Amino acid sequence: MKKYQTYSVEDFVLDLEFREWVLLPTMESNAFWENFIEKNSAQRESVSKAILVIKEFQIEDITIETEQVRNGIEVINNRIETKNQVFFNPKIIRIAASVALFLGLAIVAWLYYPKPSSSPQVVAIVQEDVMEHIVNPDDKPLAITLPDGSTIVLEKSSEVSFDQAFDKPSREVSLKGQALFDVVKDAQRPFIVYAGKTTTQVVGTSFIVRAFDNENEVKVDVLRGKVKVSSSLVKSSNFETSTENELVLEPNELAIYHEKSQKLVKELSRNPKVIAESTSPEMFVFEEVRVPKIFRTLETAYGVNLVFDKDRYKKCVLTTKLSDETLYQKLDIICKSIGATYKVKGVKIIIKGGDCN
Amino acid sequence: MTLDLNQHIDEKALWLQFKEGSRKSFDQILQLYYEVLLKYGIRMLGSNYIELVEDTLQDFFVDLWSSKARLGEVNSLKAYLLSSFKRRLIREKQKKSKTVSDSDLLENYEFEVQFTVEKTIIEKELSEENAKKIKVLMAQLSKRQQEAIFLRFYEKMNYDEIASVMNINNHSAVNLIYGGVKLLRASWFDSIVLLFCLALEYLK
Repeated sequence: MKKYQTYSVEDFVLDLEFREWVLLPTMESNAFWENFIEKNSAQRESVSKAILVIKEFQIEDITIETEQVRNGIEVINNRIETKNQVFFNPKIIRIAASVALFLGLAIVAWLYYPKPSSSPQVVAIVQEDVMEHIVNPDDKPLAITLPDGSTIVLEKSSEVSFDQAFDKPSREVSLKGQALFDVVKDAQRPFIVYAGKTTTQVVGTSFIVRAFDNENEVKVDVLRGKVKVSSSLVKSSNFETSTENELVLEPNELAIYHEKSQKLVKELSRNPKVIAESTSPEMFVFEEVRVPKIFRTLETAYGVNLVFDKDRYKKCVLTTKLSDETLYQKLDIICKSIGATYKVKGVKIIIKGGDCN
Repeated sequence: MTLDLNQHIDEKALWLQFKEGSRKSFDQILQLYYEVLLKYGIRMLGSNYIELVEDTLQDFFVDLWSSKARLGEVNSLKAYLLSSFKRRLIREKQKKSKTVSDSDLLENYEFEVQFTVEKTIIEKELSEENAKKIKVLMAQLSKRQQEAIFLRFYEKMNYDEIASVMNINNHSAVNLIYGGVKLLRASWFDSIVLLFCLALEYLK
C-alpha cells in the first residue's frame, strides 16, 4: 500500500499487480484497489491515466495451433527416444560368427591332437555358413521365398544374399538395388536388411528398400507394420553404433539416407495408402460433414498427421463423394472447396488458409 | 497480494530433477515453455521464419536434454530458456543469411510487437487510414524498447529477468522500459490531439 501512494503514472502502468487488476479484475483485487483509491484521492488521476494506457496498449497475441505445439513436442521426444536405443550391429554378428568358428576350430584342433591319456576321440565337424546369392537378370521383378516363409520381390538390376539355412537368431538379408519385403512375424527372430549404409530391422511387416550403388540415397518405405531404420556407423573399440541416426517408421512413412551428409531423414511416403484395418467404401462419402471431421477421417484412414486450425474450419461443411483417389488428390479436392492450401513438411501435412463462404 | 511465488519454488525443483535425468521433468518443462519460446522466436525473426524458429527450437531442446548434466543452477528458468534460445536463434539466422553483419549482432535483430488498438473512441471515429497513422505514432519505440516492454507486459518478468534476457544490467532494463512507456503515453496523447483536430475538421 505504501509504495502505491507515491507511484507515478508509469509506475502504475508497469506494476504487475496493478496490470493484473486492470486486465483481469477479481473480487479480491477490486476490493483492494477501490479501497486504495478511496483512501488516496491524490492518486486518483494517476490511476485513471494508467488504466487508459494499460487498456490501450495491450500486446497482440500470436496464435499458434495447439496441434503445432503438440507436434513440435512430439518431434523432440522422438528424436531423444531414437537416440537412446541400442542397435543390433551387423559387425557384432559377423564377429560372433567368426568367434564361433574359431572356437569350433580350436576344439577340433584340441580333439585331434592326441592327449596323453587314451580317451576315445571325438571328431567335431564345423560347418561354415553357406550363403545364397540371388541376382535378378530380368527386367521383370523376381519373387523369392525365404526359408521362414517371408517373400522378397526383387526388382530388376538388383541382388540379395542371405544365409541359406536362415536359422540363426536373427534373419539377415543383404540387398543391392530395390526389393519389396513381406516379412513373416517372428518376434524371437528380428528380420534385418542391410542396404548401402543403412540397416532396417523389423519383426513382421511389409516394406520397400531401395539402395542402388549409383544413387547417393537409400530409401526405406513402409507399407504395413513398423520398422527401425539406422545408418550403421561403428565406433572403433566397442561395437555400438553411433546413436546419431536412427528412425522408427510407421506405415506411409519413408526414410531417406543421404550418402553425402550421412543423414537419415523421415518423410511422408510419396503416395500414402489407406492403412486402417476396417475401411469401407462409404468411408470417404461425406454428406454435410464439417471439415475438421473430414480431416480426422483422412488422418485415421491414412495414418497421417494433418495440422490445421480447427476453429477456422469448424463452420465449414462439405458434401463430396470421394473414393480411391490418392490422399493428395483427396486433399486437393477438399482444400479447393474451402480455398485452403496444404504443404507436406516432413511427416506432417500442414493445411492453411481458406474459409467457409 | 503476491504474485505466483509457488511457480518459482516448483521450478527450482523441476530444474534440479531434470538435470538429474528425470524425463518427466523434462516433459513438464516442454509443456510449460515450448509455446512461450516459439512465440518469442517468431516475434524476434518475424512470421516469415516460422520454420527456422521451429527447427531451431527443437534442436535447442534436444541439445538441452543431451547436455543436462553439464548445466548449472538457474535463478529464473524462463529467463534462462529465453536468453539461451534467443542466442541460438540469432546464430542460426546469421548462418542462413550468410551476410557478415555488424559486430554486436545481439543488438541488431528485429523485434516485432503489435499493440492492439483498443476498440475505443479512436477506432470507431477514424477511417482506416487515420487509424494507421496512429499506429505508426505508437510504434516509435526502438526494437529494444519493444522487446523489453514485451517481456514486462506479456511475459510478466521482473527487471532482473528482463535484464538477463536482454544482456544488460537491471538499471538499464528499468530505464529502457520506462522510456518506452513514456513514449507510448506521448504518442497516445498525440493521437488524441490528432483525433481532436480531425473531429474539428469534420465539423466544419
